[in-house]
Amino acid sequence: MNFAADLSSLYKETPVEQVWGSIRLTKGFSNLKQINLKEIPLQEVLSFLGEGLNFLDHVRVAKCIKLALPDFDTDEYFKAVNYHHTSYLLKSLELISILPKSFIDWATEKNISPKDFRVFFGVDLNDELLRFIDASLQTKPSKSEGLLIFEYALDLYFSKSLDEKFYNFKDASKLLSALKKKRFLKTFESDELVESKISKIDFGSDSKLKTMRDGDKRLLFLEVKSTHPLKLKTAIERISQNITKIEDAWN
Amino acid sequence: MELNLLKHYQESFDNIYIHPDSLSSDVARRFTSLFPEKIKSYDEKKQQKLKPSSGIMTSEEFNQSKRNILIKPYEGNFFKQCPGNNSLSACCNYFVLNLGSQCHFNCSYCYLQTFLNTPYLIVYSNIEKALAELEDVIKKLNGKTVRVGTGEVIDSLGLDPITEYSKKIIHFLKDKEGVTLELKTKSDFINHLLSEASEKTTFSWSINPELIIKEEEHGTANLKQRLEAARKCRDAGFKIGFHIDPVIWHSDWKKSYLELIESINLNFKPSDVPYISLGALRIQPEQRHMMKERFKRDSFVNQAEMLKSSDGKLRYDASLRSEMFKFIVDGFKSKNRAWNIFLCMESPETWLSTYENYPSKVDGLKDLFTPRPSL
Repeated sequence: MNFAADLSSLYKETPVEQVWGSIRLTKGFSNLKQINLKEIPLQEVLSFLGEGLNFLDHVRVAKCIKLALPDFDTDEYFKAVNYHHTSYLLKSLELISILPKSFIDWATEKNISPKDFRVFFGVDLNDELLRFIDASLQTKPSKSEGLLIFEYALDLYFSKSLDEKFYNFKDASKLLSALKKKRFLKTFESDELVESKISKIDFGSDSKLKTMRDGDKRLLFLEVKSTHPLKLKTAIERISQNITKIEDAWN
Repeated sequence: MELNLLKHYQESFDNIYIHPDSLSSDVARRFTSLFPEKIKSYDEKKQQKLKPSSGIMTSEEFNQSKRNILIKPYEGNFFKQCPGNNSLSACCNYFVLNLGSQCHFNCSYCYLQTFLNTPYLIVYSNIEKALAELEDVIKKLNGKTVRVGTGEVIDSLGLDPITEYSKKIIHFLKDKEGVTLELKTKSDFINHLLSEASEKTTFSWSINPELIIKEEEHGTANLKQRLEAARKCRDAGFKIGFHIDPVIWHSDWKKSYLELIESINLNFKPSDVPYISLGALRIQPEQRHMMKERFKRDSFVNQAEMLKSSDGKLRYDASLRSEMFKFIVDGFKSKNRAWNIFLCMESPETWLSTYENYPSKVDGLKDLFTPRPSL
């Protein structure tokens, strides 16, 4: 039995190799101990691997074994390593075979689970979208940033609004914020308008009123600095006098 | 059963499974006599295999679950407090009696998409147990009244021409005090109940502008059919209700909702409709993926931003919700001050922005929001 695929290029860490029989299962997982798997039954090997590997790692391991043992039951493998939802798995595995290598590397590093692939379910991932996914990953997004970038970008793509400029960002948070602004311009403009109106109200130099978004609500933050109780009283009175202006700005 | 209705059901379902414990129930007999060709043998092991192992179903599993009926007894409590009863929303004392789960209609925003985890549309066969629970509830009410609805996890009338459950509950409540029944639907399946007129029963329709119904509420009756059904129920002596829920933002929302207000005003008086409820679109965060996968990505439900609210659900921005609610409430009140409109599953802040008051202080709504004894 020979295992041909070379996985070592996918990992930056010092390689740690796991071999079962003559099948190389893993290479490059620094968090796994080197053990001699040669004499251990496959089920035990799987349960050992199950503790240290994430979903994408398991996909590779299953692929390695399947290549070497064509009769190997990959459904049973995934159940053995606690991925039970076969339908999600199948859909995710299909996507893995389509998505670019940059995505697979990112998904491995960020511990992407089968359910995280839902963002792509039902989408025809054409060359244009694959190009965007690859380009967006050059911005090195975190897991949550990445998943939102894909979601907003797909929405914009299917409404013919994913402009070329979105392919050229260097910074993940700036890309996410630009996509979000384009996707949900109404919320953005409404927040900006309230903030601008509030900032124009004069509360004196000792007081500051700010707005901030907290999920579906907008919050008001008031900061009052004072060196004397009487000055504090004056500051509070000035704020009270402006309450109608605050209400007007708010609405 | 009317022929067109029979055809509708024949096209809606693939298989009907009957649990051995339900074989002798009235409801199993009705399904067997109406759809003998769809009855399939029930095999516990085989049925278990169909069940998704954990979590949310995939879109394919969810679609399939609408087409397979399972008739079985329910072992839990039928009678429950509405999920809107929590410290984050103003509570309107609503209770639910779930006589099944899943729905053969197909609304893009339906919360069942991430709520259910069974591969069937389930019809519970032991309605006698549900009625016994209602009997207990009535004893505990001490003269207070509560509203009980059967349309939380299944459309109250979606399968009712087959199950005939609503008729049984209406008869049961006829000489009882304290409980009023609400049958909530997006269908016009009311003909089999028109001769059962009772003041204790409200027929209510979840309604939306026709373009929302057409694009988002697949397989349901259109607005004209729903309003016509409501008119028939009113004329037969039933109370009726409307739930404008979910209110959905779209670029022409003001025009659409004004037209809806106009239609209701043309056909009904406030005295026909004790309450109208308003609720804005709200979904569990993971549901948005299912919605985009199962329906059009640019559908109305995906147009405005949905943001996380205190209860973890995604909702429109609070100020946008208030703006929409206020617009609709003002629209009704400009036609007739007597319309009673309340907000469903909304925070005290939204009540304040919409009504400038809490629900228990709004004329016409005080009784609805007065706390009831714990049941």
